[in-house]
Amino acid sequence: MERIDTIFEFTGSWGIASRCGLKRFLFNGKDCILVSELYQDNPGTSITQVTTSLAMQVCEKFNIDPNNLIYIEHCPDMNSKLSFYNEEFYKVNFKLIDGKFVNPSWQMLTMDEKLMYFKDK
Amino acid sequence: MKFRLIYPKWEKLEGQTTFNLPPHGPVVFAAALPEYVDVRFTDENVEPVDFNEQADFIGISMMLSTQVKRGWEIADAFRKQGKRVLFGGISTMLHAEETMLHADSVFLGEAEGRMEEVFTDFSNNSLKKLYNYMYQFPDIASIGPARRDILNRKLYNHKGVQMVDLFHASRGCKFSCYPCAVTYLGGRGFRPRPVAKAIEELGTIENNRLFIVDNSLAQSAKWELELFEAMIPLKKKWISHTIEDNPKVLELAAKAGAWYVYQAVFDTSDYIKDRVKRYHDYGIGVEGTVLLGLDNQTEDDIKRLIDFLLEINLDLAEFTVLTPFPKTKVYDDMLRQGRILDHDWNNYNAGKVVYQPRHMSPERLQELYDYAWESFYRDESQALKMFKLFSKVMLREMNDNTFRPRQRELINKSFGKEVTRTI
Repeated sequence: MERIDTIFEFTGSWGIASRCGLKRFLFNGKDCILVSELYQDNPGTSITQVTTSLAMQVCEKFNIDPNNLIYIEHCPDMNSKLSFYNEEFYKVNFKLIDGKFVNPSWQMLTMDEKLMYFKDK
Repeated sequence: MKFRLIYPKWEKLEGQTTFNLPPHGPVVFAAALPEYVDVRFTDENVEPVDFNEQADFIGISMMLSTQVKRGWEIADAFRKQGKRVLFGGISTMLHAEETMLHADSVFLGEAEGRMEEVFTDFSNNSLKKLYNYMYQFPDIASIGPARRDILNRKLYNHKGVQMVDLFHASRGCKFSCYPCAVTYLGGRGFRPRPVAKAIEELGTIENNRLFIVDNSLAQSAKWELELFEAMIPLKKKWISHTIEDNPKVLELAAKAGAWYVYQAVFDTSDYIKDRVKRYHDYGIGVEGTVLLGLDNQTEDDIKRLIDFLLEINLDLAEFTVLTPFPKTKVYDDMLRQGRILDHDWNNYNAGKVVYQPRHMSPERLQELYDYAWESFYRDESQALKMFKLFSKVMLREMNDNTFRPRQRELINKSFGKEVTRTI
């Protein structure tokens, strides 16, 4: 599997051209995708606004089996005085129905989980 | 073609002075309509909707999240009669998916240059379910004067005093503030109207008191200077959001008629204290806008903030509760963290707590919101503080011969309703 670290152009809400950071790597045999919010450098809608659609767009683009996906949303540190711009990672769990992701739920990664996923990445 | 444009009502916040300002979205939209469209306007906040309307086509313009459910009810009622309904406006864009369930058509984006297509489709019985012009902004120079003639001006009058007229000199915003949906709605960029076009429109507004509703004027000092210089001869008096913190700009803003500004007060720093003082130095009043419930605010922080507001001689303060409006970073964060407690859009009025705060219970934040209003206005009521600010503008108007006495024939009416005067 090819490791990827790139800027990914995706279709946001209502077809708005949007952009995020994207990393792909293997984790315990599963395809792990990390999408990062680009804030001011994203001209469109946020990664969370279109979570299920973005996840599916990534799978289609990189030929990832949706059943074999670990999907993580990343909000980078903005070096802001405001605590709500601190770095956070969320594993997003989906149901897959009729080939589409639905019912996303987010689970913030603990420090141990971050180390587990991202060690050496 | 008869087109009835409706602006749904919403429940006003308790304990606060209620004023009905003439809405801006509908008059700007009306200016984008083809000339052959006979548009009539109903603002449900000041007059009832006529459900026996003979119009061919119904339009519902919505600005606030607290309008959407009423907008949907109105649409459902008209659609039961076989009338077709088009939705547009800010909260249509924020709540588009749900709105589509109640609409024959939803328009997303800015209306200029697009309505010929919509009305032609309507006439040909081929109205589309969705007109998606998100982020396809019209040429800003093409924006002409709004259709304020559709307003029933007597309904925006309180005891003979005409409410301010709304006006915009720019669109979009280069900032991307945490609780704000503007960058989703109008793009992450500042789009100022050519000054000549802005002045042309200002010249058509008969009202001498205005509210410039731009997201923030403080996005280009060069443009502000040009705009304010051109506004001076018009002798309007106006309210706005922030003005550039620059002595030259503030001086010219005051000369151009700046009456007072809405200025965010987000901490107890000397920067804020000095910012307020600088406005005052140029004779510009300040209504502090204070957001309660941010993740970096404890109860002590909120109480300290309220004390600070009283120290810095704010003319007025407006307290709001952090609200996770759709398409904002607040919403994304709260959604991920599972902290949104209430999805009833009627409660998204920035006065009710609809999420789990970081440092206190929702109930306690609600209490602190009430405490903030009571504390700030304890010694001097909101009405009295507003009167003081109002007196300043009256004196300025008397000095430059633009003062207009109240309309005696409307002295016993408030927003169209009979009232008993106590003074």
